[in-house]
Amino acid sequence: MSRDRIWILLGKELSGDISSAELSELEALLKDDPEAAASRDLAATIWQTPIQEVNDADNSKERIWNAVSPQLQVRRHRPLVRRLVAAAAAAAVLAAAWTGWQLIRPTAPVLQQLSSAPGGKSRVLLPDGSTVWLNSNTQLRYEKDNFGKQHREITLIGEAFFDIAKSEGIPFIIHAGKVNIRVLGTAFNVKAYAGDSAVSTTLVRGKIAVSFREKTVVLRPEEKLTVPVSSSARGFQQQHLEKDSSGQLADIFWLNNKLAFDNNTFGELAEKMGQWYGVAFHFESANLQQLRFSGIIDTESIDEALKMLQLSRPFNFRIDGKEVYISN
Amino acid sequence: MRDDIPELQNRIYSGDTQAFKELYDCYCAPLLQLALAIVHNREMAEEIVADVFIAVWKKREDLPRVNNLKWYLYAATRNIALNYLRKYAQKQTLHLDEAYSLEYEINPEAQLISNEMMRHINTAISELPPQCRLIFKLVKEDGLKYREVAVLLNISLKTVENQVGIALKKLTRMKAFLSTPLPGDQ
Repeated sequence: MSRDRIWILLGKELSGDISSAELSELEALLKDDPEAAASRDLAATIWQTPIQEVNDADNSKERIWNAVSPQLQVRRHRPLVRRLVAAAAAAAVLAAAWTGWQLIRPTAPVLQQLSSAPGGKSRVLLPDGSTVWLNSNTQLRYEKDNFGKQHREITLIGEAFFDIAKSEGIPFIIHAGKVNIRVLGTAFNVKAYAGDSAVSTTLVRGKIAVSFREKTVVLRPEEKLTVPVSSSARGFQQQHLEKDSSGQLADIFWLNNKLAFDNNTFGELAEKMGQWYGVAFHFESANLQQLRFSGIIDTESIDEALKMLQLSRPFNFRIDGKEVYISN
Repeated sequence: MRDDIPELQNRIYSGDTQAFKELYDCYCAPLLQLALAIVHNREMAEEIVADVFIAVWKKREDLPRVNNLKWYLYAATRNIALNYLRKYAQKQTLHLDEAYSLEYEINPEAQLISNEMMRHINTAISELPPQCRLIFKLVKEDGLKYREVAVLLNISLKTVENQVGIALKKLTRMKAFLSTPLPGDQ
């Protein structure tokens, strides 16, 4: 019994969490037990040996940071949602009330908002195991408490690539503007930025149903559906996509940090590059916007990318912070 | 474990995201381990730790009123983890799964102790029973007080004392055996 007591006291001594009475008790016990006294040094050695978990902690650390970091953004234009997210976070620490923190009880439903900053991309893991890659300046929202229970519904503003985990009988529904996309386990891209004139959906594998007003279209792999947003345009535009020589669909180039454009006008390109780099373009004259370019932007800086474009069409540019001025 | 937490706390209070990242880098892994030990599900544990850090950031204006940020982080992780359990598994009690196993690796920074010895010690630590290992780690590695571990895991102070003692006893046995191999000794 006294032998076990030695170990208990040694632990307290090493941790620094020992009283003077306990320390005297330990010294007395060690005096009577030379064997245990010899172990005292070994115990100290063990105490100094750092222990570290492997268990792919680094991956977890990165995934958690991806969920935490968007919350650090100061979003001016969405004060209501911010407050709801703050309430969700507050609810999570409710049980820690004894620390004297003032806590806010959330009113249901609590929205979880994930966003990527202009010029930044992020990968997020949803509670059901689905993975979503957010292109720059994109927001994703879902009801934190109800997601995955009877439905998996999210709202998307911007562009994202979804790899949806199969969940028997629980459909995954994406609300992108007025378009609803219903999924049962698949991978696809949705582009629905606030300023876009159309919502486009590109399917990579699996099967999805895209509905807009009363119409529903089922997409097969490597098909793309474009739904115009304006109320006057009513039609769908469905096209089969060709893979380029790299074996990838141009619509998901952004996933690999590539911005692809094929015979796009400078106006269209400016919109893409604006999202890509988090900048705003200003054209001196309208005819500049009609210049057409094809190419892929990979890891180039905006300066390098514009110089690359200058090689094929003549124009001048000036970069002033987040503003890009294009002139003749 | 760093000793400038109060300074980080002040910087986070003033909205310094870099300080927040430093706090994250310091505590993410140990908090994840605590959450994992409670919920036994990595995704859920990751979400719990994310909730903890998001809460710290969102409520940073209240940080000056927190006496011990480190303890707050552990307590918040424990509380959120238990809430998750209640919500998803209808389990009210803290239960440390026997199947939950960890591997430990050697920290190259510790040069005073030979690699061989470190490997043996870490192997022995990974072979401790889960509850014993978690308690030992919280005291030794994370530097929590005995009383804090007792409150955190909802166990008695006596249990914490005993478990740390048992861990040390087992670990020294292993090491004593290694350093002085005697013929016929078990």
